[in-house]
Amino acid sequence: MSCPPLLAAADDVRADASRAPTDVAQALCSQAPRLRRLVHRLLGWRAAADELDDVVQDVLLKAWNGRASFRGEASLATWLTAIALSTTASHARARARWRRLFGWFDREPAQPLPSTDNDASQRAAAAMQRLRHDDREVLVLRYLEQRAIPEIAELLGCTRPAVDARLSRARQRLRDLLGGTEEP
Amino acid sequence: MTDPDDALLRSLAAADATHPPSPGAEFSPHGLRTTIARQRRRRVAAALALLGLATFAVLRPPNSSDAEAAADLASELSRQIESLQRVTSDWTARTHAAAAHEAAATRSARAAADLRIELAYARALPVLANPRLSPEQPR
Repeated sequence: MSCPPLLAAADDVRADASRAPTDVAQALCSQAPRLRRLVHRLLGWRAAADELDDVVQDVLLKAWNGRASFRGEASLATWLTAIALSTTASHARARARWRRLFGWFDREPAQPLPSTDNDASQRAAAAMQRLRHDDREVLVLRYLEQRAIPEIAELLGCTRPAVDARLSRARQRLRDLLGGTEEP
Repeated sequence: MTDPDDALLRSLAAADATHPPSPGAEFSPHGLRTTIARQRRRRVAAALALLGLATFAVLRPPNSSDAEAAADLASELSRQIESLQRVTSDWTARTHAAAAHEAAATRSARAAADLRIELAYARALPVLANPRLSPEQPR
């Protein structure tokens, strides 16, 4: 069953007692492709389809279970994006913890970044995958999702100067990675 | 002059364009509700199972076969302890006997030496007492 397009952004899931639960679920499901693309970017373009489905489903379930807490101060898209950011961060932490615990026996040596100039996108992708999740998060929000700094600050729950500082630090680390092959 | 970040951002955009997300599951309101119901059922089942386990652990009746097994184990352990004590006491007794034998041998050797000295002294005494038998006296 396909989902209808999102209606007016903020009015969809706002605590509207008259709205049927099916409409709320449809409004949430219509955001799934956008959330899937966001999660795919946040995980460094390397998550498998099943992993992406799991994270997106977690986001939708959290949104459904917490729909009463949606006050309508932000748009539905922004609210879901905030949930997706926290869920993806938790998922990335769990994955890193799992790799630390059980990945030592099949650890592969770090591959150098592609060196030729004609595969700049491959180099950028490899460097993004080596970044810490926090750094990748602000880069994705700013440069791939094209969000403004105040909006990023609202999504991440921090101040604008903090977002600026994180962005500058993430850019520098990405530049360092693209300049060499060191680990982040 | 080109901003050095421009190349960075262009390469990021190119990487994003070359790595589209693979097609995944279709999320529908019906599927969402099914997932929620399944999740709720799973949580309720887990809670009930936990509760049942806790109840069983607390209210578990004493088992007679377990008591017999425990008694057998206790008697076997006490037997092993007694045999160990016997071995230990035997070893201690042997050690003490060896030490006593050695001490007696030492004492008897010392007494024999003393006796030999006394005998030698007794043999030498008449010679020492009679100046005529003294070897220092010129004949």
